[in-house]
Formats: sequence, C-alpha cells, structure tokens
Amino acid sequence: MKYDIILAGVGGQGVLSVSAIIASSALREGLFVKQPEVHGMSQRGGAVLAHLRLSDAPIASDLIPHGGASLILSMEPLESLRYLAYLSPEGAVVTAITPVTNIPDYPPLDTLLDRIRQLPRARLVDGERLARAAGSARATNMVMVGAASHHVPVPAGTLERFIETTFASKGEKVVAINLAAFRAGREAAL
Amino acid sequence: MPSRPPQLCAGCPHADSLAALTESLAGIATPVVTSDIGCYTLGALTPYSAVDSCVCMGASVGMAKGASDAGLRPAVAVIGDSTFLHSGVTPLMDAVAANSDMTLLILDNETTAMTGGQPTILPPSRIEKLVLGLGVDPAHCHVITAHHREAEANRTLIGREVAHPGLSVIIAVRECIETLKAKKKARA
Repeated sequence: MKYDIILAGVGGQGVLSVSAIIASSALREGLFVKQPEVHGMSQRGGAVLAHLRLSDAPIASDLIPHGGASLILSMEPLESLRYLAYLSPEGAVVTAITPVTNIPDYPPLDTLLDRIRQLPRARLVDGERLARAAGSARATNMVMVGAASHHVPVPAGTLERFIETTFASKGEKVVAINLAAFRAGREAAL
Repeated sequence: MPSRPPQLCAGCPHADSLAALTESLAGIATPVVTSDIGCYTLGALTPYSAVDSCVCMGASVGMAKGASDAGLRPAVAVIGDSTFLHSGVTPLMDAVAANSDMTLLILDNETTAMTGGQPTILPPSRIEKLVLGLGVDPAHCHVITAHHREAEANRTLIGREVAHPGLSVIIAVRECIETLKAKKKARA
C-alpha cells in the first residue's frame, strides 16, 4: 500500500498542522512516512506545499513524483489547481472553496470553482462555514482533514486523537472546536 | 496559473525602508542596489522591486563595494541587522579602508525575523557603535526610524547620503511586527 498526498494552501492556513496530524496518525498506525515541506511562508501569505507520503513499506524518496499523488488536499481553491501535475489519473482533489485573494490577478471565483468541478474526482467543501459553525473559522484546516479522512488510509479515531494532542496546549475549548470541525468536515464529505 | 509569492507582512518596517530607498533613487538612471538574505529579500519582487541581488549572507556589502570600485554608481547595499552581524561587518571594514563611494542601508528590525525571531548577536543600540568603531565617518552614519511617518525625512537623508561621494551607513530601526506581537501576547 502506498498513499501520496499533496497538501496545499496559503501561509497561515495551517497546512503544516494538517500535515503533522496526518503524518503522526499514520506513524501510530505503523505506516512509513516521509514529509518534506515548503516553510517560512507562513506569516507572509505565500503558497505553501507539503508532500506527505504514506506506505506500508519503506519509502525511498521524500518527494512525490508527477502523476503519483492519490490525493490533493487544499485549504484554498486556487491552490488546489497549482499542483495538478502531481495528481495521479485516479487521484482525488479535496478542497476548501473560500478564496484567499491576496494577489492582484486572482481569477473569478465562479470560473475557478467550475474548473475544479470538472476534475474527475473533486470534492468542494465549504470549510470556512463549517468551521465557523464548529466555533472558529481558524479550524477550517481541521474541517478539511475531516473531509479528506474518507480517503486517507488512517482510521478517523486516530486522526481525532492527534487533533487532541496537537491542540491540547491551547486548552479544552480549542480542542473541542477542532474536533467538532473535523467531524463536520467528515460528515460533509460523506 | 497566477503565482502567489510570499509578501512582507502588513505593517512591516522593511516595507517603509524599501519605499524610502526606491523613492530616493527615483531620478537615477541605473542605481545598483545589492541585497542579502532575509525577509527584505522579498523587496526584489513586486510591488517593491527595490533590490537587485541576493547571493549569500553578507554578499550585499562586498558586491556594492565592488560595483562602486568598478564605476557602477550609485551603489547601495541593503542588509538586515542579523545578516550584517553574521557576515556584513568584514566587507564593511574593507569599504572603510578604501573609503568606497557606496551607501550601506542596515534594516534593523531587532531580530532574526525570517527564521522565526531568534535574538541577534548584538542588541540594536550597539550596531551604530560597531559601525563607528570600524571607522565610518560619524557625519555619514545615521540612525533613522523605519516608519512611513518619517517617509519624507528618510527619503531626503537616503538621497543625500547616496549622493555623498564616499562611504555612508544608514541604520533604519523599527522592531519586527511579528516579534512585537509575540511579545505583547507573552505579556498578556
């Protein structure tokens, strides 16, 4: 079994937290994991990319080859299309639909979302709305983990456990919001 | 596919310094502006397009000296405080020895911002003393506040020192807003 994930988003959206939660959960499940990332963009609104490779056998390369990713999980619609070259022909795209328009040439949102809908296995999730309902728009990334949890070869219970661990230092309320966000995303993408 | 380059944070002191520099060089046909490795390297991108080079830590100073010595003037080096302390001091010593016609702009945000806000080797108040200790003429060593409120004064000063036919150093000081935020949060 091999499962390669491209994680995408904009600095500040919590791409690297998503990556850490899925990676820790996979390790707990006894899988091999490689996880390189582009970092340093987090405060500066730049495109953020992480490669996350999961396998039941040792993994030689840190990087996902073009055409090799089983999943593109994106926190932002434009970013979901940026790395399409990595997606395998059978791969799925799970993306949030709220744009981050911090660039002058951002395409019209309708055109962009239509383009994503034309992909064979695309799932668009209103992550921000669900996160707000769960208690904080900042938990959008956990909604997206929930939405992707149907694809990722790790049990939902293990992901929840690592969401708890990740946010424990921020207090019970933050943990509860993030768990609720995860569950809302999971339900929305059924 | 529209690209999404990283940007300086809203309110970043570097943005004010880069704007002042660009405006002060506006009338000059071919200024040489070398730079270095730090958040301010983003000044090479739009909307700033304020600096021309990024090679390795400290390179801006030696490159500006080299450009000036080769007749490419005005030559301005833009470097952050921690990069300056890491490896900008030695080439500045060289520029002092030769009294090269160049201007060094030290962007002092009182931290190592790009890598997450580690402390610098010397606190900002001591950078001016270090520069003067190397032998830079005190008449051409200035400390300014990197804030848009000071835009006009900064523009004028930078323009004057760029025109000065010798070595000048301008230290533009204002704390990184991310460091400031983190401090406020820690106090709360």
